[in-house]
Amino acid sequence: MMKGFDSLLVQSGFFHMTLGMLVMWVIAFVLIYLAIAKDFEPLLLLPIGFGILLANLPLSDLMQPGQGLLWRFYHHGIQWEIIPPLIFLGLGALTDFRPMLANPRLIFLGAAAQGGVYVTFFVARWAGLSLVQAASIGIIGGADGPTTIYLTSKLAPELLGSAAVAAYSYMALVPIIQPPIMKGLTTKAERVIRMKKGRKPSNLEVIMFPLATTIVVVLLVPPAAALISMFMLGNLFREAKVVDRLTKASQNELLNIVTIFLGLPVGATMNADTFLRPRAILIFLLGLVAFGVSTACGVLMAKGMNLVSSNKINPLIGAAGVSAVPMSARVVHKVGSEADKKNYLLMYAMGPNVAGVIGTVIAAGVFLTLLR
Amino acid sequence: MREAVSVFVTGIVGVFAGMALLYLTVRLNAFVAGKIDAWRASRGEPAAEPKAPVEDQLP
Repeated sequence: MMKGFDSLLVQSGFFHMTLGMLVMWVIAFVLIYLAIAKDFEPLLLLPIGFGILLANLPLSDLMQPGQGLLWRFYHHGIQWEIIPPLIFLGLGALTDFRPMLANPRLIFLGAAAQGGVYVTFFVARWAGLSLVQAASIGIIGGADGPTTIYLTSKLAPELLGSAAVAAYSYMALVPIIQPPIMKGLTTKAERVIRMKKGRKPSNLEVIMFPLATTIVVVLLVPPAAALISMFMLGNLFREAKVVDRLTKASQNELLNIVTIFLGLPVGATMNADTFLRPRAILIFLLGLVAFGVSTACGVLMAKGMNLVSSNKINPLIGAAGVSAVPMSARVVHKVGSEADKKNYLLMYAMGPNVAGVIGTVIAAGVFLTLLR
Repeated sequence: MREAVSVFVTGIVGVFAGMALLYLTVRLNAFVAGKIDAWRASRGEPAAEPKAPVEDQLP
């Protein structure tokens, strides 16, 4: 009988715990704490944190290839490229492109903010990472979680957990990371610039936009088709206003369900053996560089456009070119209102903000075209 | 590193080219939508207005 108890104890997880697993538990608890107590991207960091905990419980076989529950979520949801495009469907149904259509030149701020993606790619390669790993880290600068996950799962799946956590962590830290860069690169006189109101796009125009954009972007970068097509389909649902049930389902039920099945397996890829390496720290540092450079590039682009245009842009809105929607637009508005309380920048900042989402998808498509 | 430089340059140029194309698309889209709305108005039809949502239709 004692032998039976011995056998039960030896085969329990307690006897297979390692120091690394305990460290990963701490990381999981920190993410769960940040999500619950500090409201840091809770929709993603909470399931990711729980996924990390599950992946570091010994003998649980949840990530056992071919058998484990979380492995099935990961394999069929992420490796099969289903979940990130479905997230984009929901995001498209939530996105209003009118601020961008009202003032199309703001699209170039969304383009400039991808500068951080490529600068970080170059720095990461210089730091010794492979081309595909460097691309997966660079894309963090786009501040777009699903695109980061999509690209990393295709190019460097071994970095998926670290890259996703870095992306969502920095997106939560946008209000801390961006303002010093924005203030450092602009003068008080620039921060108080009031922008002219753009025209009002017609209903027909907003309905035609997702169709036209799908054609153009897919023709330009076919590997980005899954993301951009779902994004634009969601937006067409929203703007056509004849499929209200589909719009609401995309915005709510579908988006919420796939968010669960995205976060859990992404967290579960972070086991102690693969995560607790100096490389993870490097990824987090490079992710910070990517966010910072993207912010700076957007602001500098706006300043550059002001040199050649009489219709001045408040350069703060360049920072919204990173596609952390709508967090970075809110940060722009807050920093702008510190300089001039009556300057309402939020709607102007939404233009580069939504353009940045498309810019990041194009950047991912370019990486896939060149490196896959 | 030579390949990294190549991807870096191609990537930045590619993104700006793509976004410039998006800019032209938005401009062209606004122009075409404006022309269609004007044509409809000349025929006495109202500009495209959102329809009432269809709630009870089964897929």
